[in-house]
Amino acid sequence: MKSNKTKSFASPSAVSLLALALLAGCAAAPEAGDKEAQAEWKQINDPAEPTNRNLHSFNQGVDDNALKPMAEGYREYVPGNFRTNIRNVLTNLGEPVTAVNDVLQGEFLRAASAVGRFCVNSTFGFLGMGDVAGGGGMEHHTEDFGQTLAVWGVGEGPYMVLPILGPSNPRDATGFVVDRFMDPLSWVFPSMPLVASVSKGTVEAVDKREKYIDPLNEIQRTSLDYYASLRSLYRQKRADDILNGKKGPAMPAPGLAYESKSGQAGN
Amino acid sequence: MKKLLLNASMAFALAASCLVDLPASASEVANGAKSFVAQLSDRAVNQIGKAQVSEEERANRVRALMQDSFDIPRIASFVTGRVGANADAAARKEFEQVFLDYQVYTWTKRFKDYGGQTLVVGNAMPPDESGDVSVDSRLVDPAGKPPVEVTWRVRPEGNSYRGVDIVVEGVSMRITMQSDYRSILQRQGLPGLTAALKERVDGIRTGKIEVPPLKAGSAK
Repeated sequence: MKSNKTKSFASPSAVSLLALALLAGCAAAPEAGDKEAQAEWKQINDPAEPTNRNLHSFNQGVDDNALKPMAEGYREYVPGNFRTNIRNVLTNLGEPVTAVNDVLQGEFLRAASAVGRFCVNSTFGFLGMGDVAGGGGMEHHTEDFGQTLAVWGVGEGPYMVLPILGPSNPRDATGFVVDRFMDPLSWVFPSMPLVASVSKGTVEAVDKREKYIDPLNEIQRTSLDYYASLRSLYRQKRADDILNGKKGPAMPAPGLAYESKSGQAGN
Repeated sequence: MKKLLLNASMAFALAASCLVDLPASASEVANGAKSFVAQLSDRAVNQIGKAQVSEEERANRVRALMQDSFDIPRIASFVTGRVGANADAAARKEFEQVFLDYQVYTWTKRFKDYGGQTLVVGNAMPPDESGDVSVDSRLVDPAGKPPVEVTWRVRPEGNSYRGVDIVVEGVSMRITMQSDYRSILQRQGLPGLTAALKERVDGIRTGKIEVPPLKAGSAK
């Protein structure tokens, strides 16, 4: 509830808010004797929760005042077909990174599909504006280095909220940086001007925000604790992405069950 | 000789039937769970989605479906965790009522502008260690939007089944609700959560809190 109300965001105080957020520190761990609380603490895995909640409020301020209005304006004033073309171009530019990560994960067929899509859509799809390959049955998928690290057995680490970028953890944050460097496009065009890469990043952010306008609105309206809901959704979605949607014994069960004690009591 | 062969084959058939008895019952449970999900979705589509009825009647039908097909007390105890487990019976009962209302009005709104989506039931996994069966399905959109993967977690109860969770594209509803409720439970206990949820129920019922209709591909 509290996090929903901290929306006031005056630009001069943005920097001081961010500084304050970082100073908030860590939550106190439960006492060693309380086994249930210990298990819960481990499962939530958010030792820097006070800092993270402040960063979440900061991000909300940026979202409410800049990103979301831009995304809504984008949806309102740019025709749907044109938005689809832009999304296709961005998706296409992401295929090489997906292909590299597929290879690193030993998923060679999926890598071939990503490379195939990139070749077909860059040529027959007019620089990626059309998804010709998708129409031909080569379905789009994404992989990133955070997922590659997970496949290699690296744990996610504690939950963290990054300024502007939002929900993450040390593994996925590392992956995010590595993906920027492994992008083959940055090798082909090493002298891409800063303006170009910043505008690409901005367009990506607006496109992504537009995609999530409706689901995020609904979660924000219906949840009691938006921060905790986002934390849970981020973790579950990443776990699903890592397994490429397959269910297996490796799938973590992030919920705690108390069914035996009170399951019958309510009947 | 012929008789001996007959006897031998009968003995073999008997032995074989004993041997396959165990896995057959596990697959029976899985198949039963699959038809449970298929019936549940048929009922939702025909009696709620396609039916031209008043909002009040739609809510009544959603409530009946929820009570028949979902184990609300079990889900309620899961989402309230240990604070719920340590609360008294009256407080738990009150939460269950409000929690059911929350589900009823949320799904009544979701079914309001039903767009003809159908649920295609896929495979079912054998029961896991908790006894629950997972049934895979895809919510298919008639307009050709990408389908949404939905996994149903159902608990066999004698000859029938009851839903305990719905997992949409890898996101479990009960785990998400458990996370959402934890903080208010810790600060204000079960009555605090019940009061906050009641406020949400009123908002959804009166339209103050907007719940968009069911859409395939919306979460992607």
